[in-house]
Amino acid sequence: MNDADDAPSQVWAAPAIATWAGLIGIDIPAACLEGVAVNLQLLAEHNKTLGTHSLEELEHDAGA
Amino acid sequence: MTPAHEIAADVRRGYRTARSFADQAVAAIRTSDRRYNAVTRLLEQRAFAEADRVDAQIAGGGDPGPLAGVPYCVKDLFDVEGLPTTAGAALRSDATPAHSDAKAIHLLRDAGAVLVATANMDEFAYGFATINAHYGTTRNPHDIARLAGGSSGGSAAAVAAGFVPLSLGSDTNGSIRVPASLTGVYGLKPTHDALPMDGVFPFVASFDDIGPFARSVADLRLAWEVLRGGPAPISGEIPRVARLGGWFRDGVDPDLLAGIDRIADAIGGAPLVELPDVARARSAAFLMTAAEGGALHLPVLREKAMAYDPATRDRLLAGAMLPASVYLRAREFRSCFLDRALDLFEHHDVLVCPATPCIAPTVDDPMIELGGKFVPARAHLGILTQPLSFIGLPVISAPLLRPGKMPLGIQIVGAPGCENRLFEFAETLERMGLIGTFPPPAGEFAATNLHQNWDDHHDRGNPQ
Repeated sequence: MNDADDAPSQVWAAPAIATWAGLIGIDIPAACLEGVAVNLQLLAEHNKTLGTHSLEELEHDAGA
Repeated sequence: MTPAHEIAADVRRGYRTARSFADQAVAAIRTSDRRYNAVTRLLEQRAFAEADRVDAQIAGGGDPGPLAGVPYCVKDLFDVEGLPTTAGAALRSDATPAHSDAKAIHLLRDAGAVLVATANMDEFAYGFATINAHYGTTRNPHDIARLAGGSSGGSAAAVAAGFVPLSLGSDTNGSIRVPASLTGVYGLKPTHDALPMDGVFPFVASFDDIGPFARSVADLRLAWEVLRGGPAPISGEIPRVARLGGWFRDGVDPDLLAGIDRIADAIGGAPLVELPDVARARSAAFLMTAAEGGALHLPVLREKAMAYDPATRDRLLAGAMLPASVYLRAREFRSCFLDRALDLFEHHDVLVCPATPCIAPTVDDPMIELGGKFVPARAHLGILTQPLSFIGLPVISAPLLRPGKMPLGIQIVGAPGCENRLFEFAETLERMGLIGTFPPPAGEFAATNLHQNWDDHHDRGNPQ
């Protein structure tokens, strides 16, 4: 997920997802891996749209 | 079904009994819900007991309250005493029964209303379609080949079909406003946290709210006032109105944009204004929803992943895998986006924009076109609602008055805590004949092909 912006599509392959899930304590059933991959890709696209903080936002946060 | 305010007036004056209205609602559901699948549990015994209690109060010279004898239903995520709160999930169909009613149900009952049914929804409220793998798809009373929208689709369809004049739903990213738009009824998404969430199955605490559906502004206001604890003062001021442009007009049904422009003309003008960074707001809402929903369900997903609706499960699992840094960045962006919206409210009291980009998609092909691509309606119908609930703004979804056509709704948006201004503006538009409910085409209400017994159709665990 962290590298989603520029990562090649194979990062979403089932073994990678299962590995990442296992690291955080989630045992994803094999039948779910394809569906989870599709949804992770969608979240990656939203993460890209959200982007990083603009200077204006950093100033806003500093002033908050 | 008679409007709620007329039912209450008739019952309070003793012209009709609450029991007669409860009978009527129960009969309508039994006769016609096979077409729509709006209702999951018909609470006949409870409804008759509550109605009889109202009638006994009247007979004793008492006043049951402003919703005396008004039948209503609730989305299947409100606690109903003695029943499992399913939240639309098969895996909760044998959950421990609720010890008491949700606070909102308490408030409606104390105002004299009569609970008759629970209503269908997307599993765990994660969807805009009311396509439910266990409880079935809720169909649109204006065209049963089309979706009712979701996730509060059963509550919206029950009002649109005329089973009840009022219902309750919940809205996290648009789950009241989307089905209200697609089924042609009114819906209120209140200011975040303004109405009581006690006894409501959660989804995303940062955005979850409850609200009513109704067939008129008067009935919507009546329900809102009961839920908020009393009537709101009338401001009497003429609101400064603007139309939201940019994101809120891109790719939207031209008829809907024309309807909004007609409203602008009719009230003497409403400038087009832009809310900056809406695309980012929608994405941030999407990410926070996935992360909070995933975190909420993770303990159960670890044990019973295969018991979920696959479409819900895979979304929740993906959300549970999001790094905290993504969630925190989305949440930080929210405060900036709220400030930008509040800047607009310095100059405008009411903002108007579409509620959905299109009419209801078909059940057989539940896709919508966004940016030249076809995407699943279940995840994307809330593209115009999500950025507004992201920052907790109050919104009334109101149907454009367009008899003979499929419904399309507008959002009437205000600053936090300013619901009353929205109601006053909606009342004006309704009086002008610009918004309002209209009946489904002849035949959709007709009890054709209804020979199958209601209980044969709804054979999925009604404990009554």
